[in-house]
Parts: sequence; structure tokens; C-alpha cells
Amino acid sequence: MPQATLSIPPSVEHVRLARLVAVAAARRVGLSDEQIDDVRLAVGEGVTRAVQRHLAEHVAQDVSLGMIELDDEFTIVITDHVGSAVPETDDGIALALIRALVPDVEDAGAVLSLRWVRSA
Amino acid sequence: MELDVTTREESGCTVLSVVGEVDVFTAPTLDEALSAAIAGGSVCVVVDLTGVDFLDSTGLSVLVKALKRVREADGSLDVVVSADRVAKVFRLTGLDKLIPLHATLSDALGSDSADPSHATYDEPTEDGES
Repeated sequence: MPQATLSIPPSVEHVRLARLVAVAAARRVGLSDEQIDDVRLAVGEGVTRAVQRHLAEHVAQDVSLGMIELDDEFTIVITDHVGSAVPETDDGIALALIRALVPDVEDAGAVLSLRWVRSA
Repeated sequence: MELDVTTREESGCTVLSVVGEVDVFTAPTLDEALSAAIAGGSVCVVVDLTGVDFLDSTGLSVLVKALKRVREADGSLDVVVSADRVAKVFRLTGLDKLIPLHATLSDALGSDSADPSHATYDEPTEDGES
């Protein structure tokens, strides 16, 4: 790749587009079918959360999805433009799912990094 | 992409057949159909997700909300799931302990669905044959 970025407006109908692009990128870098399913769900949850944070705080800027391939690692970075002190709108279910799906998660509120290692 | 939900009566239950992807954009369609079924007095509700290839936590929230409402009326809510990708979301959140999952619609309609211990969803085997 090694790096690509997608920006979407903060609206719920664009979450699917983010999922589709992330899945295409994951397939391109050679993740397994199971990993690709996890990318689809985790990115969907992460982007939904970012969009809902924007909607809750009336922030009109785009949500961005960065996809980075480095050696055998594939990292997706979801960035929103809302201060990190916004409470979760869903009792944290989305984040709990993300942590169950992704081997390496860094959650800094407005920046969520998800990392997979390509299976040998 | 739109979500299609069709509702019909079968074997004394209200069956909602869902086709498409259930996410934050489409979940309100499922929510409306479930709310209408429950408001219409149905106490045996089966949600057939055989035609669903993606479901996220927003979809789960809609199902949990419906489960609470049918239980208030001493009713039951069962779910039919065939894709492992979709069943996995229930397992990871522990919701498979709360909502009975079935591999086929006939299983769901044939079970004593008011009791969650009667869940009959079987893990797909490695070679894909169930």
C-alpha cells in the first residue's frame, strides 16, 4: 500500500463505506478470511462510535480512517475530532467487541488504533 | 444498502425474515418491525437472520430491547443464525446466553423457546458441514 486514508462525513449511512474500504485493504495486504471478518466488524464498531461522537457533539468535520501496512503488520487508525472526554453512548459494548476482535488496540478517545499481524 | 424485513405468522409465532446488513444505519428498520410485532400482541417472536451477512452491536441492541419487551409480556424471542460471522457477535458479547440461537427456522419454531437453556445453535464444524 503502504498507506491510504479515507475521510467520511459524520453520518451513519457512510459507516458501511468505511467497512468496505477497510475490508478491501485487509484483503489486499493478505490477512486471513477470519481476520478480514474481524476487520469488518471492528472497523464498523470503531467508525460507528466516531460518527456517533460527532453527532452527539454536533461536530461536522469528517471522520478519518487511516490504513497502514508495515512489514507483516496492518494497522487501522480511526480519528475523530471530538474531545476524548465524551461518555460512551452504548455502555461500552462497541469497545468491548473491538477488544475481543483485535489483538492490539490503542484507545485514546479521539484516536483508535487497531493492529493485526498477517498470519504466516 | 437497505435492509429488508418481512413479517409473517407461522406455527403460532411471528417470524421476521431479515435480509441485508444490520448496522447503525439500517438497525432502525429492524427496530420498527420488531416494535410493530410486539405492539401487535405477539408473544412468540422469531428473528430469522439467515439472510444477514453482517450484524454489529447496534443490531444486538435492537434485539436486546425487543427481548426485554417480549419478556415483560411473558413471551419469547428466538433468533435463527446460519453464518458463523454473525453468530460470533452473539458469542463475543455473551448474548448467546440470553437469546436462544438456532441454526434453522424449523428448529426455532419447534423449540420450547421461552426457556433460554433450549438454545440449539450448533457450532459449525471445520469442514463447513453442520
